[in-house]
Amino acid sequence: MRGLLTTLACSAAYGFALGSAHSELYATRNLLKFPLLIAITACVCALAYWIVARLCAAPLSFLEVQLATGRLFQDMSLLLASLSPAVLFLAWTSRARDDGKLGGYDSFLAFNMAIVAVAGSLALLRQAHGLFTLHGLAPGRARFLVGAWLALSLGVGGQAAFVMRPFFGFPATRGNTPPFFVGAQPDLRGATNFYESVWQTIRRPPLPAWLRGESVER
Amino acid sequence: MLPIPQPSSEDPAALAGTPAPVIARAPRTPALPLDEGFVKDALTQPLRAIDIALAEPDRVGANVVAGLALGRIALVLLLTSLLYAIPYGMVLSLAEWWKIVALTLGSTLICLPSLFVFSSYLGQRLRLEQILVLGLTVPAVAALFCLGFAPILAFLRATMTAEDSQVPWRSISNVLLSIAVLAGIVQLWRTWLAARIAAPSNLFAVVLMVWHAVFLHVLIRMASVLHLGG
Repeated sequence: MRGLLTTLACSAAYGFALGSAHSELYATRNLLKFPLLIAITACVCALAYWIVARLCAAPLSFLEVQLATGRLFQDMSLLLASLSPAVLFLAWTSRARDDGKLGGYDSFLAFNMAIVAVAGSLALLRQAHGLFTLHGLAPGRARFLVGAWLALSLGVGGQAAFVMRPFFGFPATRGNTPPFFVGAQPDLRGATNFYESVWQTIRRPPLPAWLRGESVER
Repeated sequence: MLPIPQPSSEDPAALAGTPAPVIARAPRTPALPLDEGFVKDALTQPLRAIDIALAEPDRVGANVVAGLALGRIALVLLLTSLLYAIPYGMVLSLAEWWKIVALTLGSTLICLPSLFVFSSYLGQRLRLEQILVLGLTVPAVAALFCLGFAPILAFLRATMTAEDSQVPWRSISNVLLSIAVLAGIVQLWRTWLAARIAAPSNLFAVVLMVWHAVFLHVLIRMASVLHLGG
């Protein structure tokens, strides 16, 4: 219970810092959205986590698997929460200096993706070590298992995050009141789901002209 | 008696004055076969069936070697393949609940005779029950992975509603199905490596590799016939 509360509080803190890059509205909404994102990801993946654990012959019951993955989320949330002051500082400063169009959106996104990756990897290594020492799982197998859990979480959590957008929008949308969850509406580059969005990040199609600061003929 | 390594002048531990620890890997004890009672219980206890299909490749391999309870293990794997793939099929469409079973189990059953005949023809003395247990590992593990993926696919399907998306949920489903089948193939090899004493020459491994090519070809055609390709 204490672990669950820690995860929810820490993820809410990080979500608040993230949303501050856009507005107070986004920041306060993220207090609820981020913990919800983690809860949905954990629930949707619960069965798959356990099936993968059985494949690795991990001597873990269904409940123990959920506790282990819960610890993974807890560690990650704690690490991200520790970075919240830095994220909040960057959010406020970029908000104060942006051009009202795209601003520092891309670099802020890249920074946050990097810290989520670092926090996720560290949590993965620690939990793999925990599985190795507590449950006597071979180190390679423990690493594979925790890596598979993280990959599942990324695949599902990415789509959940896409549906639960916006967490932090680009400055041009400031002043609007978007729905709590945007859902499957196309994003800036026209992607309608997380996987399409990843694909477009690789292909990098051009942004709409009004965001690039070009005049649009109508 | 393990040889004690002589410290070299470049060994940091030796330079520091502390002897380097000698780590010896304990000899691996051969796995015990699953007893008849355990396998019989698996027919009525779903969790035990999951253990047989997923968690005990070494012990199932030992059963293949010993020829113990093979008929029952094959039956457990068959039932696992049949039942646990249904939820995923129902996520695809209620009317298509049978398609994943047809895809994984159907393709395996179509290809199993060739594995038995070719291995026998090449002098590998594996009995039909042994081949059945090895072969049915693939659809059983794939079905269990499908069971785990079913809530994920249901979530993706509910949230990916755009019909003209470049990455539709059907494509993600195909990736998940590929992972499930791949896990089944990996499990087949784990079981086989535990059971290779039953056919000590490496010829069966070669047969198995060629058989995989046939199996994958049939599987892809089956997916196409069942309109699972997207």
